[in-house]
Amino acid sequence: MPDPMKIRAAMAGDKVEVKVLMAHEMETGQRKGHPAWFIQNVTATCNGKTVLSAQWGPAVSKNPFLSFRFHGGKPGDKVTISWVDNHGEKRTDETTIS
Amino acid sequence: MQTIVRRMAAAAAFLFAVSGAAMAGDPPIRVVYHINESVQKAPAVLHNIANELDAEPNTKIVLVAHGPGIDFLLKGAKDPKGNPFTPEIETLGMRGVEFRVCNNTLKSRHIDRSRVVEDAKIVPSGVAEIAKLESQGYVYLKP
Repeated sequence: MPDPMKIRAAMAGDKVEVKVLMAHEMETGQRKGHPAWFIQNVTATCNGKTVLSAQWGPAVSKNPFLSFRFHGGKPGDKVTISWVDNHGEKRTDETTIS
Repeated sequence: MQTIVRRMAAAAAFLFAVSGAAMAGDPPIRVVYHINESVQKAPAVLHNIANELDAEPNTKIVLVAHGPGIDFLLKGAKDPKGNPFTPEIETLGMRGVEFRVCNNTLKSRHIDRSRVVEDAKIVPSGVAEIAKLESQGYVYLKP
């Protein structure tokens, strides 16, 4: 089981600002003896509705930090972040907007 | 003679038990990082902090900046390679690091409070903050 993400979601004016810190090796596959191992898909939902969907590649750094803003959230709403890596490993964590 | 030896052994066993107990309930390490040098120095300090957290994830870290040391905590600040400090600061912030900026510096250098990044807190005096944290048991580190 991969390590949990750290997620913060807070109102910034009329938008919700989300900050996520993921724990992942993010190996490019270019190093000898280190096969490619990186997060490929990232999804963020707010109360079940997708607010961000991303396809990542090996260029993203180790232990990625992701920050984004979206409209339509309010304090108390649930923000859920999920990722899937190229090994099929998954991680989902959630937080409440403050 | 024998009783003395036995007593010493008992005392040693007692000491061992005490240090063992202290280890089990060790309070987390608390560190205050001090920076009063320009943006040239900041990347190394941030790197040191990240390394410390990698080695001891439960360490509580506060960074106190004053003088030229606050520059990297101003909005739009860039390191000597031209990269913004924001991702590094926010990443460390997510890992529990606190950034504190000296208000005396802001006043004397005529820097508006609004120019300080949101992840940093403004404290009345940088040096007083360091002294306060040290008196609370924080370990002083100046890379």
